[in-house]
Amino acid sequence: MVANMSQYAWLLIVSMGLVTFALRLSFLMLNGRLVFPPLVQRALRYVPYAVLAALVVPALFGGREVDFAVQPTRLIAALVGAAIAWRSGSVLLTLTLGMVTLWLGKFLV
Amino acid sequence: MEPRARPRAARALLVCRSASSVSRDVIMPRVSGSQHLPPDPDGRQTVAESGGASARTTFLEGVRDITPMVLAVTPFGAVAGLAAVGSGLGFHEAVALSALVNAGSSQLAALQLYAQGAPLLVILATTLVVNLRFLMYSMALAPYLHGVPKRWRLAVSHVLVDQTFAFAVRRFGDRPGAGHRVAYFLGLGIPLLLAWNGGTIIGAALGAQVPAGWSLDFAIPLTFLALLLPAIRDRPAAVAAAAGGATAFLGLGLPYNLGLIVAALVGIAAGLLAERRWWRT
Repeated sequence: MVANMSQYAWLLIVSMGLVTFALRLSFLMLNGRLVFPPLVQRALRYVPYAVLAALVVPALFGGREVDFAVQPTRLIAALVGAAIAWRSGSVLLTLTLGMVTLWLGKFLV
Repeated sequence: MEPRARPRAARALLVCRSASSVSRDVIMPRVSGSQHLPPDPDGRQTVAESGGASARTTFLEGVRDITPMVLAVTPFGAVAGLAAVGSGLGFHEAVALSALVNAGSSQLAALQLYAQGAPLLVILATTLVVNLRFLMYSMALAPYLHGVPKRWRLAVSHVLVDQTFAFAVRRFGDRPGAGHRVAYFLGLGIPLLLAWNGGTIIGAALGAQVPAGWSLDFAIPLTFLALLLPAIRDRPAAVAAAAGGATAFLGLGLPYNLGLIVAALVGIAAGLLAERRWWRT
């Protein structure tokens, strides 16, 4: 069982690496012979915004989609983190104060 | 190492132009929220412009330009290492993940799914979506590396990330005649790759000591917030983020985070529509 888990993890890591490498190599390999139409280029610009926002949401639910209840401590810690990220732009500060808020919340509840 | 820039079709020129505007609103980790692009290099006299640049000098220029980013990326690498161990990967697996994938947000997204026991194909589809922006970077960079030997294009590909892209297109766009582009790019990319993996090694080593009660998995959404919010600099970007987040919320019932893919598509469409509504008129 443990061996299988580990094999699965390695398969995942290597295939993630290949997918990502293929995306990076794509147009470089074509040697500049091909470009996307302007609409697609503009659309790609919005991918990080949409994806990062979408990644935050499930984490407020304890990271499990079967459990629909918002966890209040996580929500509050996320709001604190969002405010700090917005004001400071610092990953480190957001992480530190966001985690401290979460721990305080757990301690108090 | 590579031929001088040759006359290109108008199409390629268009790409160059769009590349330099792209670099300004790229989402990337920041040091302190202020300066994430290099100072305008025009004031500096460089060997490349004076004609006889060696590849080594140009490489070192890249190293110097990327140094502030190197400091910023190390703690982010540590988060990736911590998150990997916290999601059930072993030390070696955690280190291999950063070394082979070299793309933080996709690694964190994948780890979230891995911890939930999502199937391989779902995690790979998520990786593909989160890293779609690399297609755009690859396309924008390609005209500048036209005719470079294949092995160098392979090397450049692995270290093509938000930060290296932003610095490189800015320099290549500002100085069309300057040579040794691969050397410059590797000068940016190699220190960043080393810092990223060094951070991961530290994080993965520490992560094994941290009890589960500390909820270190929460570092992942916090990191996403810290990357996302400061990068929103215009209304279409804000609309894309809001629509993506709202769709992900509605899609929570879908199995295995498939809501993410739907949310990405809705967010992109919303961003394009917002562009039309506010930007164009």
